[in-house]
Amino acid sequence: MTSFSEILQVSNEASLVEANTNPSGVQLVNPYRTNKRNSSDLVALAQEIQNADKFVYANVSNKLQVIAEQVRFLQEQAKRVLEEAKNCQTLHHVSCNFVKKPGHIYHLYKRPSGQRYFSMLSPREWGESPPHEFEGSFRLEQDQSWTPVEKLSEKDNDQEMINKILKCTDTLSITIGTDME
Amino acid sequence: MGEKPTYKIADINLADFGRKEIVLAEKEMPGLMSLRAKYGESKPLKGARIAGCLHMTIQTAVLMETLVELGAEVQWSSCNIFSTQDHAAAAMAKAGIPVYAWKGETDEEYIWCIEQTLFFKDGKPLNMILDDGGDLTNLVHEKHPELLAGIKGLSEETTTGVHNLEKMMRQGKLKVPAFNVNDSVTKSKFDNLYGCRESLTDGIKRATDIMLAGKTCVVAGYGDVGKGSAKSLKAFGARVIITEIDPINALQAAMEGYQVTTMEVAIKEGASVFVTTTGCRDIITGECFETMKDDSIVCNIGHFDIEIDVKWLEENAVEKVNIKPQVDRYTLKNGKHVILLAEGRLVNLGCAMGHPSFVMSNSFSNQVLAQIELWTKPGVYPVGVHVLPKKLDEEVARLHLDHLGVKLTKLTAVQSQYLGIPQEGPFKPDYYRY
Repeated sequence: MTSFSEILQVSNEASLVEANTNPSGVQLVNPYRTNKRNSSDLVALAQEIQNADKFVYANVSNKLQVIAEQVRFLQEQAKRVLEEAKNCQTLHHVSCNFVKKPGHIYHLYKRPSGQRYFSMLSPREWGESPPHEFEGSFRLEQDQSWTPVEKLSEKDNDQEMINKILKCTDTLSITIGTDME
Repeated sequence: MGEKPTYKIADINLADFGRKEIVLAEKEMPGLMSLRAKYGESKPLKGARIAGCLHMTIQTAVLMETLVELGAEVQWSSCNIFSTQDHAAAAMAKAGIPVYAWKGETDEEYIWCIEQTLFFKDGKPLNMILDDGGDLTNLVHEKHPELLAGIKGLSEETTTGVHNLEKMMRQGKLKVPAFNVNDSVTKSKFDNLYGCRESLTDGIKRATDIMLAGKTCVVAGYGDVGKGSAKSLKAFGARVIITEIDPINALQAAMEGYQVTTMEVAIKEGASVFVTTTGCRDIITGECFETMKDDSIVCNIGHFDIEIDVKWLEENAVEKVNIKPQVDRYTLKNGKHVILLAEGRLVNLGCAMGHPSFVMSNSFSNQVLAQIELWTKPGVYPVGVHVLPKKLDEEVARLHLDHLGVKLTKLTAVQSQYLGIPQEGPFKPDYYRY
């Protein structure tokens, strides 16, 4: 595989096509004469190469820039996915006496012993004085992930958008289908 | 205090399923249904605000709706953190009854649930208590004594709660008239005897799929539970051996045709199913396990988990294999196996469905009549622990007869005079043992 540095390291000296004293089996009478060139020709060629190199470099940089951004974005996304997964897993393993059901909001508390547990009751339902330290409320999603209540509207908006897209894709595929016919 | 939710349950979407099961249960609870028919019009419980604390199950739902039908306002919590049937609770919530119960509460949530039932809409406090186990009764007495003056009475479902009431009475702490529903004949005599007669073998069979016919089974104890257990095993064609400490019960068992002997002898006779019903401890010990036939089935339907020495099994078995929930097979050092059901706890609850609706209809009819007595006759019953008058006990039984097609014979006026018993009862003196 070619590396970017290799591309950059190519000499920008102009090089001419190899000479042949006997092209296609015909012996040249005087190869020197036939191959004689004007000294400025080489400079022009070299300049042209240099220009071309600059453009190639600029183009490559532009394209790689986009990819670099994407890589950074993907890295961040991967990190976030892993973090979310870890959080979800932690929440699933928190002590709980009841069977948790998707679509419901549960409330996380910490007992003095350090044990964390899920409760059906919000601090509000406890009359703002829950028996244990409140650590947050979460909604269990259909895919068994957890959404903190602070992010519920965000998540719901996302879902609404996804629903719209799903609907649109339906109509889109129908249109594409007719077009292809 | 934050504002009180109108209900708090696991999942309101289960309401329709709950309702379907309630419809089925209603058919098997003729006592409650005839009380609805009889008092639905006159609404004797009008004005009563009943806070109930009793297992939030399908059967209890039928009780709650009966109280409502009789004019009461009802708010409910469960008396055990794991006993709520979430679909039953959902059906109640959907029917507009404030219910605070879900399967798997924490102990703090349990108390929260009970507290939600104390104040009704518009902030009016409860004026009646329907309790199972005494937690609601204690909570009101200890944390809300200011409400006691407004409470007309309480009815208590079970032995534990009755012991608590008697203790409170002795200490002068009880402040309201209380009915002991547990000791109505139509309650304890029925769910101990007939309830266990159906649910013991149901539990054994669901757990092990064993054929009982031809097997030798030991029933430890010949009280009401033992009588029911022995009878159902015998009905399956098993040979039943009884162990007893009380000569009267031992003689009863012998007169019923059971062999009565000690556990050691019963084991030597090759018994392979062991049921404890005594209410005592150390009935089946390590020594018993070691001498039992290989793969004997051992279970308890008596009292908690100390009748069978489960601790010995846990400490001395070489291996414990969980076959399915509530069924464990232990390998002993001598190579023999013991199959233990429901971890030595009540096998009819652990491995079967507990008491059938029909039996619960008996005890719940007692509850309803106790509530009517206390609500409609203030001052008649002083602070203390009372049992329902014999006449009402008889009434509960009467309400269940039609469903079974029973035709009752009536005393003639002459017969009534001859016996010195009113034509309409009560037919027996209070000390009669049935």
